[in-house]
Amino acid sequence: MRTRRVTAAIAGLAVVVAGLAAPASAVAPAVTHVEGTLPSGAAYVFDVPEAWNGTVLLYSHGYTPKGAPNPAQNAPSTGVRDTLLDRGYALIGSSYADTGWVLEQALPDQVATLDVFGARFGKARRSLAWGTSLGGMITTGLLERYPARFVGGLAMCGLEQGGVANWNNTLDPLFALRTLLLPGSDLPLVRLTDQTTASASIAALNAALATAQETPAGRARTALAAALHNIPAWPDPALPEPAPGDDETAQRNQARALGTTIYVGLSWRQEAESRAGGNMSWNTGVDYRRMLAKSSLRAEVDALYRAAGVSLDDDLRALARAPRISADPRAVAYMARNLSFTGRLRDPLLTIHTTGDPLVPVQVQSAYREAVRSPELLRQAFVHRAGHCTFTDGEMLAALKTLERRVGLGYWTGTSPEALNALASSSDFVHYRPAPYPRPFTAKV
Amino acid sequence: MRYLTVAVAVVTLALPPLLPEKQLSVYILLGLAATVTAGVSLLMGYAGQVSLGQAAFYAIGAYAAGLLAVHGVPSVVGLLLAPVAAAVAAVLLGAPLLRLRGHHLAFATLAVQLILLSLLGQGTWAGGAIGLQGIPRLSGLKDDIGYAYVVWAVLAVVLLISRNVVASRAGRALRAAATSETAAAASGVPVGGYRLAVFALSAAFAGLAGGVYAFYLGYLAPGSFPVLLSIEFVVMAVVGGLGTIAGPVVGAAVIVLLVQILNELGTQPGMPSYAPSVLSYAVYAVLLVVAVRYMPKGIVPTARRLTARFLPTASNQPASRTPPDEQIRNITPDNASSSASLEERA
Repeated sequence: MRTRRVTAAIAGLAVVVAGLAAPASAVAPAVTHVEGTLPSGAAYVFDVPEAWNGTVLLYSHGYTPKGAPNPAQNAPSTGVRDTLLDRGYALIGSSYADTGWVLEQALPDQVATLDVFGARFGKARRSLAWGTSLGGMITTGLLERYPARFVGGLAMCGLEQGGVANWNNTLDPLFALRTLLLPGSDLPLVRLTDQTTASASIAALNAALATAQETPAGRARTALAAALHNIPAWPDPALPEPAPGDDETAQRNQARALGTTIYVGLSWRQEAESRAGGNMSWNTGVDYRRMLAKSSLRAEVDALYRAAGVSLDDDLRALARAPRISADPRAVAYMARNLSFTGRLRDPLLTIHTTGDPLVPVQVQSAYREAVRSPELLRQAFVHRAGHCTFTDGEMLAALKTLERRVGLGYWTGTSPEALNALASSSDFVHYRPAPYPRPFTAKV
Repeated sequence: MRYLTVAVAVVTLALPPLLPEKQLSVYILLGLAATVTAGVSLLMGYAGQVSLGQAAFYAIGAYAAGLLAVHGVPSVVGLLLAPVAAAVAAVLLGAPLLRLRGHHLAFATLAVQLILLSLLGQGTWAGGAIGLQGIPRLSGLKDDIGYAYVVWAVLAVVLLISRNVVASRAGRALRAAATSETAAAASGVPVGGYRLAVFALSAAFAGLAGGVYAFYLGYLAPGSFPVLLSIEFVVMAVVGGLGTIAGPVVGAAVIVLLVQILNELGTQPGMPSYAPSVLSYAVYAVLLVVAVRYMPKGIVPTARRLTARFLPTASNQPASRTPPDEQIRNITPDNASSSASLEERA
C-alpha cells in the first residue's frame, strides 16, 4: 500500500515537473527570466534573450483598479513579447508599487526598474520606453522627466492630455447628464468620500441614462453629453459601426459607452481624489456651447435635437445656468505633478491611437500635439477601429519598428498610414486628424 | 425577540421613501452587504469554514446576471440564475478546496478571488479591466425605492433560509462537525457533503446579492470586487456575531454606517489627504480588535447576554425554546459528540 502511494507521488511529481518545464523550454529556451521586488514594494520582471541585441524596452502597463491583482508586466501581449524576444530585445517592466491613479509611484518605479536591470545585465545600448493606456501616459512622462534615460518612446492609447485635463473633461459629460436628465439634483459628482457614495451616483446616472433612451428628447440629450467628451460613434468592436448619418445607431452606441464614462468618472475619480486630497476638477467658466461647437459630434447632436423637436439652445442655456463646480487648488496641484505634461520633448515620441476609443477619446492626441514644443520629435498615427487599445500585435510591432528606425536614423521615415500598414500587415492605419481636445492642456483653476 | 424582529422589519420597510437619494443608496448597498455576510456567517459560524474570497461569488453572480442581460436574456431570469451560477461555481471549486482546513482554506479562497479578478480583467467577453457596460435595469424598476424593497425582500429570504437551515437536521450536523469533525463523522454525519452544501448556499446568497448589484449599478468592473471587500464581509460577520441570524445585519449596518461617518470626517476641510483612506482602513482594524477583545462572540450574542443579565426572566426560558443561534454557543468540544448523537437521533 505504502509502495503504491510513494510510486503515485513520484509519478505525480514527475508530471508536475514536466508540466512546469515544458512550456518554458518550448517557447523561449534561451531567455533569462528574472523577477524581483523594488524597495518601493513594486514587483519587476525582466526577460533577456541570450542573444540580446543591446536594446531594452521598458514597458508601462495600464490602469489597474484598486484591489485588483497587480503583477509586473513587460509587454502588452504574449504575442508581442515572444516576437520581440525572438528578435533579441530585452523586455522589462514593473507592477508599480500601488494600483489606481498611481502616477506618483509609477514613474520612479519604472526608472528604478531600469536601474536594477542595468546593475544586473549592464548598461543597454538603447533604452526605449513604451506603454499602453495609463502606461502611454507614463511613457510620455518618462520621456519628459527623465530624458537622459531614454532615446525614444512609443505611447499607445495613452492619456496624452495629462491628468488635469483628463479629469476635467471626464466631469463634463457627467455634469451634462445630471443637469439635463436629473434637473435640480445635487447628486455628488466630485468630492466623493468613498466608493459607496461613488456607487450611489453611478447607479443614479445609469438609471437616468436608461430612462432617457426611451424618448427622442432623452436620446438627444444623451448625444449632447457624449459630444462634450467626444465619445465615438463606434466605441466597441462588438457593436455595429454606424453608417455616416446614422445618428440613432451612433447615439445608441454612445449611450452604452457612457456607462463606462460614468463608472470611470466616479469610481476611479474617488480613488484619484483620495490621493489628490480633494477635487481636482472644475467647470467654472466653461462655455459648453463653445465646447459643443468644437466637438466631433456636433452634427449628430444637431440632427437628434431637430428630430426630437426639442431646443438645443434651451438645453445649452440650462447648462450655462447650472451651478458650477470649483476645484480644490491643492488637489489640482497634486494632479499637475502626477501628471500633466509640459510638451518639452528631447527624444522622439510616436503615439498610436484607435479612432473609436471611448475611454481615452482620440482627441487627447490633439492636446499633446498643441502642447509639444518640438513638433519634429512627435509623430502620431491612427488606427480606424473601435475600442480602447485594440491594436493588433502587428500594429504595435510596426509602430515600435518605426520608432526604432527614427532613433537610428535621426529623422522620421515610414510614418504614413500606408507604410505602417505595410509593416503591420494591416489595413487599418488611416489618415486622420482628431478634433480639438475640449479642455485646456495646462493646469489653470 | 419576535416583537423586536417585527419592529425592525416595520422600520426598515418604512425607511426607503423617507431617505434622501444618497442615503437610499447606502440602504441598498448595506442590504446587499448584509446578504453576502449572512452567507459568510453561515459558513464561518455554523460550518466552521473560513472564506476570504466571498466577493468572488458576489462577482460571479453579478457578472452572470450582467452578461445574460446584455445578451438579451430578461433581467428577472438573469437575477434568478445569478445565485445558481455562484452555487455551481462554489460546488466546482469547493469539491477540491474544502479538503483544506483553517487558514489553508482561507488562503485558497483568497486565491480564487485573485484568479477570478485576473480572468475578468483579461477577458474581453466580460468587458476586461474597463468593465461590462450596457446592463439594463431590472424589469419594472424605475427608481431606487424599488431596488430598496427588492434588497429588503432578498435579505429577508436569505435570513429565513439561514434560520431554517440552522434549525434543520443538516444545521445541527454542521454545528457538530464545526466543533469536532471526527466526532460528527463517527456519528454518521456526512461532513464533506454538508460542508460543500453550505459553501454552495453561502455562495448562492452572495450571487443573488451580486445579481441585484449588477442591475442596480448598471455597470460592472473587476475593481468593484476587490479583495478588501471579502475582508469587509468577514469583519461584518465577526463584529455582528458569528453563528447568529441577526449578526450579519447588525455587523453590516455598524461597519457601513461607521465607514460613512469616518469618511465624512476624513474629508472635512483641514484634514490631511490621507485621512479618508487611513480612517476607513483603521476602522476595520479597531473594530476587529475591540470585537475580539471585549465582544469575542460579536455584538448580537453580547447584547443577548447583557439582556439576559439585566432581564433575568428572559433567560429563564425552557431549553427547548432557546433560539438556534444560541444553541451553538452551548456546544463545546466536551459535549460535541453528544451534539452529534443528537443529530443522529433527530
